[in-house]
This record gives sequence, C-alpha cells and structure tokens, in this order.
Amino acid sequence: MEPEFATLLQRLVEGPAFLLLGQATGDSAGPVPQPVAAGSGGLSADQAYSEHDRTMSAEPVPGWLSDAADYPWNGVFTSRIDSSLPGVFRRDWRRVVPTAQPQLGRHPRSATELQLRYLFGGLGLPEDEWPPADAITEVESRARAAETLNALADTIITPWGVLVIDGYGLDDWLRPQDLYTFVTRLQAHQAHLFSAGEGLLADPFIRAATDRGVLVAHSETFGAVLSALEEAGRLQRASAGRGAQGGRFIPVGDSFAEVDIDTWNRVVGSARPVNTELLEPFTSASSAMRYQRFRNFLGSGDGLPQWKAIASGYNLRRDFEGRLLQRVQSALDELGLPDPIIVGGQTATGKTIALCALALDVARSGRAAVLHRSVRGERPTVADIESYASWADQNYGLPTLLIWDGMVDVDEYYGLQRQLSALGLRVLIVGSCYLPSQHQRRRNLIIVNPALSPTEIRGLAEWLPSFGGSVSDKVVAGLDSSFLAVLYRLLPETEYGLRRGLAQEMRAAEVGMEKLSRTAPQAGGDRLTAVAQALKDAGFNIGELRPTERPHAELIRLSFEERSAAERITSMVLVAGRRGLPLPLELALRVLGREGARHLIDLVKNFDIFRWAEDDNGDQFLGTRTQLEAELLAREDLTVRTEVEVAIQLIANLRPVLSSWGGGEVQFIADLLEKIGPQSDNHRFAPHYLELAQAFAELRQSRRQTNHRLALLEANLTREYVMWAQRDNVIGHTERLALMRNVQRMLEATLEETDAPARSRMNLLVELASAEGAQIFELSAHGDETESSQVLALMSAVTTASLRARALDPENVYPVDVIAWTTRDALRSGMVPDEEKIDLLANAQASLDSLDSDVLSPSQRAKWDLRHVEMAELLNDPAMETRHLIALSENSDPAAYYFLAARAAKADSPDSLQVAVRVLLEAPAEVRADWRCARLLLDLYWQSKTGKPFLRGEREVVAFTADDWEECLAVTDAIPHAAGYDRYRLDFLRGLSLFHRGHYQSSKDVFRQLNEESRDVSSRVISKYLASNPDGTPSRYTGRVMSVSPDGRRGTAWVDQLHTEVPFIPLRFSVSDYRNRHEVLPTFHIAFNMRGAIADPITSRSARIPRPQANAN
Amino acid sequence: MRIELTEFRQHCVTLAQHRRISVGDALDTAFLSSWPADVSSEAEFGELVSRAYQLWRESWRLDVGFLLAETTNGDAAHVFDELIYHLRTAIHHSDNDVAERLYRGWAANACEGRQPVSSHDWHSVGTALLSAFSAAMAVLCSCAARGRHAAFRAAWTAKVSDSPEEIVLRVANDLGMSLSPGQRDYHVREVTRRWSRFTLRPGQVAMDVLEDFAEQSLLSHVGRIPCRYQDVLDELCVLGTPRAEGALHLAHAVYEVTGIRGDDYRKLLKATWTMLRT
Repeated sequence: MEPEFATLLQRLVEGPAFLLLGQATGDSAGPVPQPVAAGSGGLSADQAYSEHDRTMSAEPVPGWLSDAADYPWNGVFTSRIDSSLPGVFRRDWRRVVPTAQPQLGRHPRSATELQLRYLFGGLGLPEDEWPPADAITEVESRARAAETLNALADTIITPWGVLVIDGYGLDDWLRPQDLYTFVTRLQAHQAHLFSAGEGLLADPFIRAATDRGVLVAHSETFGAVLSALEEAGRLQRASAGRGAQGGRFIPVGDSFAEVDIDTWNRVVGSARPVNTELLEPFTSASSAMRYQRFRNFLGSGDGLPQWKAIASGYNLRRDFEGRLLQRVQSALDELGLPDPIIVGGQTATGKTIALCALALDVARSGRAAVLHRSVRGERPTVADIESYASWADQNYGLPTLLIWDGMVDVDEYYGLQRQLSALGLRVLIVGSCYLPSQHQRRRNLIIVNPALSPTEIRGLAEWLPSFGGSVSDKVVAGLDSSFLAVLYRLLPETEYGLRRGLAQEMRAAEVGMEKLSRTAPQAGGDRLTAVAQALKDAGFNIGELRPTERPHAELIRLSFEERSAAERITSMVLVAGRRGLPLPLELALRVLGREGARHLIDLVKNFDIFRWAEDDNGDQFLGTRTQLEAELLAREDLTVRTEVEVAIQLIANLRPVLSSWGGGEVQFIADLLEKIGPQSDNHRFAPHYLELAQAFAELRQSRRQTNHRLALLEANLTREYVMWAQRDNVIGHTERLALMRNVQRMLEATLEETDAPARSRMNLLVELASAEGAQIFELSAHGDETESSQVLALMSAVTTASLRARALDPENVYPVDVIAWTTRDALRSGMVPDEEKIDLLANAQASLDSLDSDVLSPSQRAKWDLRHVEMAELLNDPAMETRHLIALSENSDPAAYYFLAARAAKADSPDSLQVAVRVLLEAPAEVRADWRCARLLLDLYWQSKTGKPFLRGEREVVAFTADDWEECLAVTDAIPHAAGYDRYRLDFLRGLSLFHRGHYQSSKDVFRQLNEESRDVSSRVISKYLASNPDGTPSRYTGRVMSVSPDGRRGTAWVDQLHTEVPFIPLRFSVSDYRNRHEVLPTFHIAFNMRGAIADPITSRSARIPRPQANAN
Repeated sequence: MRIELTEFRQHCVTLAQHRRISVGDALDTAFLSSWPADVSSEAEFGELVSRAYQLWRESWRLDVGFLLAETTNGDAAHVFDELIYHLRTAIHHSDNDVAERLYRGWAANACEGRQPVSSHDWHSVGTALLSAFSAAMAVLCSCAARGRHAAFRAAWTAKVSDSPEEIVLRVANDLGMSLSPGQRDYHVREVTRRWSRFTLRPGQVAMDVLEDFAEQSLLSHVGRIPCRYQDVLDELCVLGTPRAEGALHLAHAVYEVTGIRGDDYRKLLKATWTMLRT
C-alpha cells in the first residue's frame, strides 16, 4: 500500500469522514456562471442559474462522482449550486438533507441522515438559501461559506476526522486562497485533495498548503484510491462508516425484518435499535488477537457499549442477570401496562455490561424489538420511541423493550413509562440507577451486590483463564466486583507477555485480586478508598495515569485557570467522568481554545486515562476509562472550588442548538447539574449555586437568546441558593427577595418568549410557582404584617401558575406539591386574614385530593403523603370552624362550600354523601363552576351512587337504572365550565351516560373530543367501565366483523343490539380468527376507555361485580 | 418458478444473517445474483442441479453439515441432502443405476407421472427442485435460529473455525486487512492448493502450516518501490545473486514503513542492509 494512503486509511477507519465537492464536473457542463458576470450575454443571474441547473440535471453523473457518492460520508460540503446533487447522494440506506444554513442542527455527523451543505447556496433550496445574484450578495455568501467551513474545521470534523476534497478546480467559487485559509485550521494530514493535476498543484496556495503538510495531494480520484485500497484488502466499502450501507435488520421470530430508514433516523436520536450489527460477534481470531480484544474490552470501561465483545461472550455473567432476564421475559409476555424494571447498584458493579447483555439476549430471541440508550446524551423522547414501537407493533406484532442505562432518578423511568402507556404502546422500560433510598425501593427493583457471590467467583475461575489469565488460589469468598473494573490495569499488555509469564505483571494481577478480595463492600467512599488501597498494594499507582508532573498536593491548590492545558483537560474530564458523564468534545475544545486543543490528540493517545468515543449519530465525546478511575483521581486532584470553576467555564462556553431540547451540550450541563445541583444528594456545592446561576445568566445575556432548559436550571439554582442562604443567613432578606423577584421576571419572560414544548412549559410553570412560593416564605419569615397583601398576591400567582401547569399534565405531582407547601408557609406566617385562609386551604386540599396516588412513583407518593399530613394540621385552624364556613357560604364563597360539602361527606350518618352532594347541587352556579367544587361534586356523586371512587380500577360495572344515567347527565349539566385540566373526567361521565341512554352518536362525539383532551392521561387506554345492566351485571352483546386491518390490531364490529358500529381489536378475540368481514363474533362486552366504546371479549378478567354498598341506591 | 426463487433467495439471505450473528461472519450470497431464474431444458436442469449441489455440498458444506446434524432425520433438509446427491450423481455419472432410477422416478413425480419432455415439463421439474431446496433451507433457517443460545453459537463457531476460509479470515484480521468475498476466495484457493500438495512432517501442526500459507498468500501482493528494482539490486551489490530476493523484500519493507523517496530512500535502504548483514 502506498504510504501516503496510510494516513488516509487510518482516518477513514477511525474518525468521521467528510467530502468537500468542488464544481468541476467534466468538460461538457461548463463552469458555474459567476454572479457578477451573470448579467452579461443578456441573461439575468436567475436565468443563467436556471440554464446551468437544467444542464447539470441533464448531464450523466460522472463515474468518479458516483463512486465518491457511494461512500458513507458523515457530511458533504459543496461549492456546487445545482439542484440535482442531492439525488446523486440519495440511497436506500441514507436520507439526504440539503441545506445552506451555517447552523449545525441536530446530528451534524449522521451517516444515515446526511447533511449536504451548499456553501454558496443551492438552486433547489428555499429562496433565502439561493446562490448570490449580484456582487453584494456574493460577498455575503462568501462570508457564510467561510463561517460554515470554520465550523467544519473547529467543531464538526474533530481532531480524528478526515476531509476528502475532489472535483476541485482553479475556477471554483471557493477560491484557492479561501481553501488555503480553511485547511490551515485543520490538523496535519487531515485534508486530502484528489484529482490534483499539475495545474492545480502549481497554484501557489495549493503548493503552500501541501508544503506545510496540511494538505495531502493525490493525482487519482477518490474512487480510484478507494478501489486500490479495496484491492489491497485494506478497506471494504460495505463495512466503512460502521456498515452504514448495510441493511438495518432485527430478529423477528426465527427470521429478520428490515427497519426502514425513516423510522431508523427517527429513533436513533433517542435510542439505538439493537439490530444484527450489534448482535454480530467478533470474527475468527488468533489467540493473540483474541487476548487483545479481551483486554481492549476490559479497558474500554464506561465508554460506548462494546457490543462485539459482549456478543462474543467476553463478559463475566453475574447472578442477577438471570433474574433480570426472567423478569423482563415475563413482563413482555403480559398484556398489561408494566412498571419499569430498575437495576440499582454502586459504581463498578457490572450494571452497564449486564444491560447490554440483556439487550442482546432479548433481541436474539426475536420476541421483542429492543432499543438501547446509554448514559450519554439526551433523554429518550416519547415521540421517537413511539415511532419505533408503533412500527414494531403494527408491522410485526412485537412489543418494544427500551433499555435505558441512564443512571438517573427512578422517577424519570416511571415518568417515561407513564407517558408511553398513555399512548397505548407496548413498551417495557429497564433502567439503571445508583442505590435508591428505602422509600423508592419496590418489587421491580433489582439490587446489584458489589461482592461477587461464590457462584460468580467460580465462574471467574473459568472465565479469566479462557483468555489466558490466571486466578489466584488465595481469593477469598468476598471478592469485590470492582476487581473486574481494574483488571485491565493488572493484566499484561500482550498475550506474549502473558505466555511468558512476566513475573511482575502476573504477580500484580494476583496480588490485586487477593487484596480486593478483602475489600469490604461498603457504601460510598469507604469502598472506593479500599479499592484505591488494593490497587496500591498491587503496585499500581493510579496517579501515574495523569498527564501532569506536579504532585497531587501542589495541583489540588491550583485554580482551573492556573493549570496547564493538559491539566485543564484532565480536570474537565474528571469533573464529568466521576459522575459517569462523557464530555462533549466541541464543548471541551471551546473551553481550551485553539492552543489547548492542539494538545488533545496527544493526550488521548499517550495517556491511558482518557477515552475518545463517537456515538451512532456521529457525536464525539471525551471521557475517562471508567467512572471508578475518575473518582479515584478526582479525589486527589480536585476541590469543590475547582469543580465549580470547571462547571462555570463549561456553562460559559455552551452553544445551545436552536431546537426545543437545546442539543447535546445543554443535555450534558443538565445531567451534570443533576449530579451536583439541588436535585442531587450532594450538598457540598450549595454555597456555589448562585455562581453557577450567574454563569447561566451571563450566557443568556451575552447570546441574547433564552434556552428554556437553561432558564429552568438558572431559576432552580437561584432558588435553592436562596433557601440555603436563608438557613445560614449568608445574605440578607432584601437581597434574597430581589434574587427571587428577578427569577420570577426571568421565568415569566421565558414563558412568553420561547416556544418550549408542553412538558418544558409545565416545568417552567412549576418553577415559577416555586419562585413565587419562595418569596412567600421569605416574607412570612420576615413577619412584617404590612406585607400581607404581597403574600396574598403571590399566593394567587402560585395558584394561577400551578393550574396552568396542571392543564399541561393533569397527573403530575409537582404543581400540586407547590400549592401545598406554599399554602403551608403562607398560613404559618400568620399574615393571611381568616377570610382568605379558607380559599387557600380549599385550593390545596382539592389539589391533593385530585391526584390518583396509584400513578405516582414511590418518592412522589411519599411526598404526597407528607403534604396530606401537613394539610390535616392546617385544617385545625380556628378559621375553619363550621360557623365561619356557613357564614362564608351565605356569600357564595366556593371555598366554604367546598369544605362544608367535604365535611358533610365525612359525617357519621348513612346519607352523608347524598347530603354533601345536595349541598353542592343547590349551591349557586358560580360555586359549581369553581374547579374545586366541580371536582368534589363529581367525586361525591359517584361515590354516593356506587360506593367507589370515580375512574379507579378496570372494567368496573355499575348497577344504574335509566333514571340513574339521566341523573348523571343532569349532574354533568350542573357543572358549567369545569377546570381545563379536569374536563376529561366530566366528559367521560357524559359520554358513558349518553351511551347508556341510547344516544350513541352523541356519545361518540363526546369521546372524540375526550380523545384529544386526555392525551397526557396515563390511564387513557385502560378500559375503566363496562356497559352494564341495572342489576349491575355487564351487558352482553352480539355482532359481526365489519372491517379488520391486515395486522389484526384494529377493526370495527357491528353490534346487533345497538344498531351501530364500535371499534374492536381482533387480536384480543383470537390470534388468528375474526379477520373476515361479516364473520360472527362470540358474545362480547362493551368497555369504555378515554377513546370511547370498544368491543371487549369476555374473559376471566371481565367485570368485577361491585360489593353492595350501604349508601348505594 | 419466480415465487420459488424469491422464497429460496429469502431463505439464503436469512441463513446468512443467522450465521453472521452466530459466528461473526456471513455466508457469501453473491451467487444469488446469477442463480438460474428458470429451467426449460434438460441441460438447464443439469446446470441447476450442479449449482445446487455446489452450494449445498461444497461452498456451504460445513454450515449445512453442522445444521443438518442438529435437525431431525427425515425432515425436508435431510430429504434434500439425499436428493441432490443422487440427482447430481445421475446427471454427471452415467454408470450409477441406482441414482439414475431415483432421478427418473423423482422427475416423473414432478411431471404428473411422466418423463419430462417439453420445456414446460422441465420447468415443472426445475420448480420442484427449487421448491425442495427452498424447503430444506427453511429447515436450516429454523435450526439456525437456535443461535439465540450461547452454547449453540459456540458449537457452530467451533465447527467452522478450522476451515480454510476461517483460517484466511483469522490471518487477515491479524494483518489488519479487510477482504472482499472475492479476495478471500482467491486466498482460500491458494491455501487449499498448497495444502493439497503438502505432506505434514513429524512435529508440525496442521493449523500452523495452514496459517503460514495464509500469511504468505496475503502478503504476496506488494506495492511498488520508489525506484526501479534493478537500481536496488545494483546499489546493494546483489544483482544475480541468491541474496537478491531478500534485498528486494527489504526494499519493499523500508518503503512501506517509511514512505520516503529519492536519495533519502536509497541511503536508508543501504544503511539498513549494511546493519542487518553485520
């Protein structure tokens, strides 16, 4: 192989690959018309361009371009302007996104969603992205082209990438001097110029670039060089770019199914489908190669999943993995809506590898479509998961298993599961976390023991020798799993060394194992201290991994700015790495500046502590080998102060993407703050929250752009700082109030000015309510009664914000929690007049009562219970005495009516509920219109009729006569303008009642609207009630098939008794029958969920007959 | 025959996928693009039989053998195994009466009880063969799906690991090479050819010998050096001597490793030659 191809080959294999395509196409097409000359010859610029575009479209694609277009590029940049170019690059396995925008956008290096960037505009693009039409716009277009190329050089290409330039000539719109300026920003041997003839090489700028080593010239075309490399057996196009050209197949049963490119591109931003590429083990290898692969697998640590190694069985299986697989398989077989399964444990206990192994095992079985999300990057988005799960379900009847190795709070998995269940998707989530607190532990939690069991140690004794290693005889029963994380450091570098049995290296492994076998598997720092000591005893000094010659004692005293470039890189990587977070490469480069960035490649190459990785979207990250090593090193080199300085630098250099989620860097900062900020268990950073918040504020002001996620972080940090400052009186009352008022104003502006998605708006509203609540706390603690009107105004604002938040997510606990604790604080202040107290208490109590605790996660449930206890104490207030309430009710005070009715319902008499209902029904209309009274009326009425809460349980039946259903309709009519977020309950009752009164079309109309209202309700697709008879038995119906979708998942059935059609799901009736029109169905029930009536097969799960209730009619 | 051909192709691709995720390397399916699309004469039927036999009993023999051993006797795969053997024997060897009888009987079954004569008859016979092949492949695919179990994958890998194909692949991996199917076939043929003429001496291990053959074949393609080969031999004073071969190997190695040219290259080459010879 020609040596000049060696660097090209290495970069093609290792790094992202980009093509810069010039305007040279061949002889017949002619040059692209220059804008300033376009007016000559009687043609306007537009006419000249159109003529050029027509010519280019008619021209056959030259062979060299066709060859180049076949390659799986991570991005294409071109000085061409014709509209036919996207078609040249379009393939079955790749979508092409043409653009002339300089902004990066999402996934700028994706090989399957290729960005084709027109440097000077494109004729097939929107008008504001067209090529220049005159001298002025030409200058502007050159500036944009330079900006785009600078982004390529500084950010997109990364130090490991390669740029291929082909089709370039001296008359290109990208002038040689511009090309020279651009390539000098790249690393040596990073840019390769192909089809370089003598004329081109003689140009002084091209010659200077080649002389300086920043441009490597080849006379052949890129396609010819690729062919030469293939002939030499050095590269196969089919496997280039991680096999992007190959199909995307997943196992389905005993066969395989192909994921279409659009579904793939949609979901891969959130999670990676586990396809045949990931299932493929290593090919046959010599023992030396096998040992290298094994050691690399051990050494890869916490970076990207090592799929091939795990598919090849290189991992040691832990006991809990068998239990985990069984639970997952059982959950996938069930038809119900499952809770997420959580794997919890300390650092370095094997969770990540176990989850990868689980993904492969389940994918191989062909019984589920599997998605995997590792720690890095954004949260999986519901829409992305929905698209994939729908594809799998509708086309192949497969449920989806989402393995999210997020190491996030357990509540996040529950929240996502709830959202996916609300859409009726068959998705099971398996997540990971650190050891959850006691109240978060549920039966679906699998805790990983850090100590290896005797079975596992026996397995180790077979596993390690199969790769040539040896196991000490002196290993005792309690070997800590961290041994597996550090084994890489203890094994010889080569198999040759292993076979030679180099005494020192072998001894290190054995001593290390022996020492770690005595490591007590305790929580947190003690365990890691023992691990560090064990490594030292094995003769391994982890400090030697760091690229600094300064001793720890000196380095730890230095600020971030005082450290060398290498030390700053290390600091940044450790701050992120000790929390299991990989650092986005572009962000690190920005913090370092161009000088510091030059050190980066050498550091990563020469110091084994660092790892560079690229994910499936082409995003690049820096990290440590393992979180364990990062933690051990960070303890020696970093103080809290230094970590705060690092965090501030990272915040200051953020570049949010113009999208609702803000991009990978925003996600990284959000993840980092989750680990060191107020939501973490680590409060050492509390004194620095304000500094971090100020860094966000400065970023916002300097960029003159608000990202809603960063605004939320800024607000939350400020509020938590104020709370901390209150406890220790670090800053005064006036300053604390001023900070919270600023936060309030900032949040109000953010809500007004940004286009945040619903969930983000809900979070902002909750934070706004909290900021207002923090002011209440501040004022109440100050105790100045002249400020009581401010307290009342703030409480009103809290209620407004919280209700707006609830409208976006009716089942979310956080808006309810804010109302509860702000009410508590306001009332405890003593600054609220009695006549106002009742209204506040009614808001809080009604909010708490409106939540279905069954949908809450364990920690949310604990919080909800606490608020109930606090509320009970507040309700003992003298203002709540009945005589006061009655007096207020005479003035139509809704809050008073609320409590009077609630108390009446709890009275010790047989008709207490009916009395309570009467109180509300006989109240003035404005009382019934109040959201608290409306909800209470509905709940009490239903309870009085059935003895059960409304909309709880599944497939419930009610013993209602026709008059009872009319009465239900009357009750719904008596509740005018129900609260926005609560409307769905009212409409459900109306729809159910109309059906039972025989008004089927009206019922359908109500449910059609309800289908939209209830999109965020988790129980949306659960059959809550069955159509029932007056005696309380479920009604039985007969009918026949009217239509069925080919997959058997949707259909309609004619119902003989009702003379109308209802939806039905054929698969619920039979795996294979009832697919033909007019086929007679077996007798069935009619069930109701938020979407309406549906034919429901009669099974053993059908209809629970209600217990007779004392108060039921 | 179009439906049977589509099914057959699908089964081949599926089996290749199963092998890929079990063993790490897919079966070569390049033959599918030139697979006979139709049969309308005895000669074309003979060609189909040859192609089927070659695939089943030669190209894919190790994998087919492994999977057959895991399936049930009497199933479609075993039936086809017998069938293709007899058909090929009958067509290519005129002295085997048993095979001939079986062939005629089977062909008559495919033609509604009579011997095939017309092009339509031969089309029916061809379709029947392809259908039987497709059914056999379906059985193998179903068996290959057991690759979801680690023990099955390990057994399959072990079965194919000592084949010349896997040995060439192994050595290519060690050399950091990435071979196309065609390139691999070439080197496999080289290795197989040399092995067929080789006699193992006492103390020699067959695997080691095969790996050596593979290494030599893979390295036999060298690039050019930055000057005429005669200049190298002349410079090093080895023209016409037994040392000339070694000198040229060194010349290629120096250029491959350093990439330098011109006088610098000559000086380094000479210095290296001198150092090695002292």
